[in-house]
Amino acid sequence: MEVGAIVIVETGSGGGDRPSDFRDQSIAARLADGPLPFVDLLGQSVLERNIELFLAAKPRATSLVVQARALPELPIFRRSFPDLNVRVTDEIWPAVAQTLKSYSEDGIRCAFIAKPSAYLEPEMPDMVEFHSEGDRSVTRASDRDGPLDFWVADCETEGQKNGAALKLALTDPDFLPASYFVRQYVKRIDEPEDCRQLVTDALLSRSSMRPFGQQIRPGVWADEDVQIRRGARIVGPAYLGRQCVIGESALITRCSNIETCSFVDYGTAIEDSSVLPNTYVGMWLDVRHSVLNANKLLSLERGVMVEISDPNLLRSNVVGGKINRRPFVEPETLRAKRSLADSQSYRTNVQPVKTTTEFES
Amino acid sequence: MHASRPVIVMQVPERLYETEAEVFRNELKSLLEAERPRIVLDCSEVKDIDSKGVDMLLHSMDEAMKRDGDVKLAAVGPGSAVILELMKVDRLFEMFDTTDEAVRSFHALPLYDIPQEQDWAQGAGSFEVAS
Repeated sequence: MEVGAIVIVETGSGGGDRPSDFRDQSIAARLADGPLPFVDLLGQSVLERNIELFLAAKPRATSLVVQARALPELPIFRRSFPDLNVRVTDEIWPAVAQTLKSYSEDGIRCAFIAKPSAYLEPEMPDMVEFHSEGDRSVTRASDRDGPLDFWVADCETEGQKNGAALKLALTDPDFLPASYFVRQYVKRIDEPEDCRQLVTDALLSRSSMRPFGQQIRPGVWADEDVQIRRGARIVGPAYLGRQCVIGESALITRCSNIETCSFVDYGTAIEDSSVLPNTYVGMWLDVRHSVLNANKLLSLERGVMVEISDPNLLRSNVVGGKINRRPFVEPETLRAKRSLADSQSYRTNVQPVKTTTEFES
Repeated sequence: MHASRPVIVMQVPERLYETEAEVFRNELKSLLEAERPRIVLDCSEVKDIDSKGVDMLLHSMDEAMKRDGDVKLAAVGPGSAVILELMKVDRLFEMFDTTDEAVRSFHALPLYDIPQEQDWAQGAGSFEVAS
């Protein structure tokens, strides 16, 4: 397909700027360590799934434009994207305009532009055709809940605009871009409840999103290096993330997902809940309809978030003496590269996932 | 005659961690040593509770039940309720929205206290046994 693709990552990509007072932050900002689209769900972040969505449509060029302030929060990618151009910048929209201009100079007529604020599965060729048949230089996707952060834009026309004008053309309702209604699956990721719903829909095959890893038995997916200890019961649908440990006599059930490097200790039941990466859940607990991250528990039933100070109940898990959390490209390297005028191609430093899974029965 | 024992309402402190739980346990000790202790713990002020705090609540209830009494919880906030559910002890306690309701629950007559001395066939009722 003779199109390009641009994924934009800026502060406010699902999380917003964080106020200094913890009490003033939204629940999403307080619960997760970064914006929710950057949190691993079923082994991959929504950001990475958006990139995969674009690459699956085989565009001529794909770019990831990252605001420098958002860089420390970027998730580690599970897959390698050798064709992905990564550009780090202080000013997002001028960089996006410049990218569109370079696409135009390469003969690319139009480009997808997306911010990872939702997981969606649009018919990309259909959207391009809709855009081509219209008379607007920008087409914005929408669903029954309103406009989405997903556009098709003419590279030549929009690439000539400055950053502010481009941002207006894409986001200001007064500019009335053409609207393309997405009939396929869409899930906005604004609140932790949305993450739960996205996981549940994926595990129940209501969307095309698939957990990362292997299906070890019907309805149960496990990533690499999962440990399931004696007497533990995994009742599908459920997902066990990379290097997670399920303790003896524990129970994981009802569309629960245990993400990377988490530990569910002896006798604990996790029901209809998400345990985010690097979380330790203590012994003989009963977790229902909740989202857990380190020492924070959001009860979706009660709509209340609790920060638990007792490390025997909930805490951040430690793997190998340190928490496995780092930006996918080293900031120092990027600062050197940003001094260059041209954008460069980066190779992510994650190898393709191993397909074997080992666990104790 | 059915004697009604007083119901004691105790305010649980704002933080119920190990140290505070120990202090509160000592305050409750004399009350729990009475015969058939009836205690309502007002949890309206509780903001933080950990596993030691929950242990203290369970211990109090256990001690009260040994003496044929009970400990009930009132005005448990959503944060504390989440912790109690997490530790699977929420079903062990009777919980009420207010201290008044919790106190009233102690005064409701139990079934075994209903007088059974009068023979119903020779009672004051005006019914007749059908032939």
